[in-house]
Amino acid sequence: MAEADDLKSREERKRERMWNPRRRWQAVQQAITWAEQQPAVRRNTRACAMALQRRHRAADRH
Amino acid sequence: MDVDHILDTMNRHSVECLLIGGMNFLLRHAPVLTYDVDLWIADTPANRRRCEAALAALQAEWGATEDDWGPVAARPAGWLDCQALYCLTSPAGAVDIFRAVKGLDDWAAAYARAVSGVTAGGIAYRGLSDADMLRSQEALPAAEQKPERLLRLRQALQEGRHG
Repeated sequence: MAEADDLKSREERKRERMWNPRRRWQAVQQAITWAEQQPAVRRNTRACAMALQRRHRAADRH
Repeated sequence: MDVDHILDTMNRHSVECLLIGGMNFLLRHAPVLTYDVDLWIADTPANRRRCEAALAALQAEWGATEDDWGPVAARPAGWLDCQALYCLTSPAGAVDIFRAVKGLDDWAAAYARAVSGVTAGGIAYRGLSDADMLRSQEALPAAEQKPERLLRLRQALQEGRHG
C-alpha cells in the first residue's frame, strides 16, 4: 500500500508541474462557484439567515 | 471547474464509476476545499475502454512522464491498464481516476451501498456511502487523514443520517 501512496503523490506532483497556472486558477475559481450552487454547501439560505437573526436578537436582549 | 460536465460526460459514455473524495463529501455534507473530481471506476477492461473514451471527450491530458504528457485522445486503447491511478488535467478541471481505493476492496459492493444524488445542475451521480468514505479515510496514513471529514462522517453515521 505504501507503493499506492507513493504513486498518488507522484501523480499529483506531475500534474501540478504540467498544469497551466492560468487554467489551474480558473479551475479553482470555477470549483468555488460550482460548490456554492450545491444544496449542501449553501450558507446564505433563508433558514440560515433566520437562525443568525435569532442569535443576534437573543444576544441584543442580554 | 465544470464538475457537471465531467460527471455528465462519464454518464454519457456509460462509465461505471463512483464519485469519491472531496467532491462527494462536499455534495453530501459540507463545503471542503477541493479542486479535483475523484472517480473510482469499475476495474474491467470494457469499463476502462469506456472511461478512456470519456476522458478523450473531456480533452483530458496525462502522461506517464512529463515528456510523455499530452492529450489522452492520442493514446492507444489500453493506456488506462498501466497503473492503479491517474491524475489528469482537462479544460473542465482536474480529474483523478482510481482503479482501486485503499480500504475498499470490492467496487460492486461499494456501488451497491453507494448513494444516488443529483447536482444542482441536474446531473446524476452515485457517490460513495458515508460508511465507505469513513473506511477509506481510516485506511489512509494518519498524516493524510482529514480530521474534520472523519468527525463529520462519524457524526452522520451515529445519527443515521446517510448511507
